[in-house]
Amino acid sequence: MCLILTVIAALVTTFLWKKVYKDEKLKLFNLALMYWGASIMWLVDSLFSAAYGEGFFDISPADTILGIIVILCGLVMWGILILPAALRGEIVVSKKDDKPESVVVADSKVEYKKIENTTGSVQAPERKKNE
Amino acid sequence: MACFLVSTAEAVIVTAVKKAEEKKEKELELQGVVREEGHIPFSVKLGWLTKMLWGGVFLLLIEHIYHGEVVLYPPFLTAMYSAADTQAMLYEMATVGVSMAFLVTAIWGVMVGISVIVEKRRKNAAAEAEK
Repeated sequence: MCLILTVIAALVTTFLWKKVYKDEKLKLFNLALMYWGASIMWLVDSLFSAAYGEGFFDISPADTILGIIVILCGLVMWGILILPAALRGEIVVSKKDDKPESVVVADSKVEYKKIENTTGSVQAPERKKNE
Repeated sequence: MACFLVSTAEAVIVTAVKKAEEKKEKELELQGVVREEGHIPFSVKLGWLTKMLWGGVFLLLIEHIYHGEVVLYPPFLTAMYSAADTQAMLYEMATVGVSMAFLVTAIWGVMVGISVIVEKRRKNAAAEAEK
């Protein structure tokens, strides 16, 4: 169960890193690599257990609790890794589709200026015609 | 028992190699050697391996503490109490531990291979776009 839970945690973290959250300072890739590393190691351990006649998967409650503890420890380690950047306020949690607020403001300012210029240049000849 | 110690030894060596590689890359940068756009430095690729190894080692350490195989006082490994257990531990390190380290490194090799292919494709696409 520990192997299954760690693989699930690795898949979820990889999905979040690849598809949802873009900020590199969130270090989701590091967390995913941590879970993948442990998953590979437990996979080898399970293969050897199966080769020695024990079961490949251990689905006992004790192993399930261990899986949960391991995932939580991974999250704690990840929390420690991102803590300095979080304390400095450098982490902006934004989804991949969203634009950070600062960029949106900058874009809208640029767009506003462009519109002003274009309307100005269009309106100017019309005024001349009227005159 | 102590299979994660093999991966720990590998992680220490790879971390040292990564540091040396980073130093070399910085020196090249100071000499004015410009890195190609989109190229992932080898030190970054080594970083993936160190993260997988250290992450896996950390989570396996938690598992070993949970199972009472690692204790927080000397000799730290409960298998060290008797000669028979120590022999079993060394056998496990030689089989399971080496296999774990080998599989993690092999998967990292596949990751590096894929990244090299992606880099080449990007480079070719950029060259075609310039034409």
